[in-house]
Amino acid sequence: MTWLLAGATLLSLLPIGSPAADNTHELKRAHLSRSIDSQQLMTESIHVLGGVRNRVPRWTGDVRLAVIGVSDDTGVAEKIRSLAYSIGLYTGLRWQIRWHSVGSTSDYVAAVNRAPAVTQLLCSDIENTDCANFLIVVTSQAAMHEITQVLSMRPIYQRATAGKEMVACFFAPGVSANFEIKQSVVFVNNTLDTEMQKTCLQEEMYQSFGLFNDYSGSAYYSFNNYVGVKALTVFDKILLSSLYDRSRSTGVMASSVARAVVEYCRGVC
Amino acid sequence: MNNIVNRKSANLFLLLVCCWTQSLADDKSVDVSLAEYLNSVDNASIFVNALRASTHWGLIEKADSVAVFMPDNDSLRNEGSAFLLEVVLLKPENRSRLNQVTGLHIANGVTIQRSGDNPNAILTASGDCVTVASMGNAVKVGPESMLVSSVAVDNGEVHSVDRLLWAPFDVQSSSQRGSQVEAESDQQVVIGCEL
Repeated sequence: MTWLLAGATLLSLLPIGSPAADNTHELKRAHLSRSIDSQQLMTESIHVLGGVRNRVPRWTGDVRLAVIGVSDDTGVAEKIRSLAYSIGLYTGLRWQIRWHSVGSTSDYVAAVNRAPAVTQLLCSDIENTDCANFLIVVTSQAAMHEITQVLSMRPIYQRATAGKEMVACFFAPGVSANFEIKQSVVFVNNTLDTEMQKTCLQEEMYQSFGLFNDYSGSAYYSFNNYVGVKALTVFDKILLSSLYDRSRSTGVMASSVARAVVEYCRGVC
Repeated sequence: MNNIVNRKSANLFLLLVCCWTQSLADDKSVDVSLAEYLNSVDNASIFVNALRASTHWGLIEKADSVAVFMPDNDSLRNEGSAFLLEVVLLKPENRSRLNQVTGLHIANGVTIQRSGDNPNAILTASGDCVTVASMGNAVKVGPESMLVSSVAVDNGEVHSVDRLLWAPFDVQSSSQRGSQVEAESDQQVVIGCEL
């Protein structure tokens, strides 16, 4: 099986003054109490979905999530559960979550090297079945670099994790030719503080479901290239809900998905 | 010294009375059917319209004892899920999702108390189990929804919740044995329903 690795977000942690306050929450409330700029919302929505001519992929089957590098008793683990719950609601997809107590990612790398077909996505050892299709790795950049190599991820991920500049997090979706998202790998740098790890997780997990692009300085979406602690907005959830409206087929034009959001928000948001 | 002890006891008594009356004040009973009550709540029209469009409305009208978990319009809009219920799930192509989502908010033959013993999990009309966690006067339903207030009606009870419920996911634990990464089916966590 060959998956095209499409869209990617590389969120570099720059030495900027990132306020700890949840400014996006205030942004959301502000939007609820004033009129929507429909043109701006349309522009941003289409951009987040990959551009006006883009046919937007989406997941079609169950999501089988494997998590490496997160102990079950941390706030980060709870955040992953909460996000899976939220994404499940807006997409209608079923989730299975497997917690892998692989403390050292080098163990994972060794296992992949030994039996790549079985362990790349943490399959069961019984007839190579029941594989995960969504992998979250919270680890060091150096360890993630090893993983990008053993998983044969695109060069952009290998180069970024090998570089001196710190990479906070990224997602790497695998999309089939018929616009189905078949898998995704999310990396979160474990040197980030807990709140930034949570922000990274929410952004990369949500974007793994088809909201591939960031819109710099977005007025509506949290996928805005802002590096700092932030919350999801109501528009993030509405756009995801629109994308997973089964009345539209997989691979629908971005403008079609965005138009439904704008039409709704013109009257209600 | 005795005065201090007495003052503390009096404060504790006042606190207990305050909490008890607060608990009572939040809950009420009305002499109407469940369907009539749901249709009368203005600020829950988004959820109730979705419920009416689902296959579960017949149960609401006919059953003897049904618990309904009902998010109001403001909660849905603030949370970002109003669009899902108002637009997406009402389309014919999404009808099975509508039935699943609304079914999670209905439990036949179940009573939930805001203060008191509750089952750890309930079987809902969608066929899924939903967890219930009591913490003092607070009750959490499912992974994240908090119970806000409750109303008893002729053939059931309506519990206002602060967000939509969704099906709990399957959770498995696994670990590395030797150098092989593999799933451990014997550690699978299965949420059971207490009926």
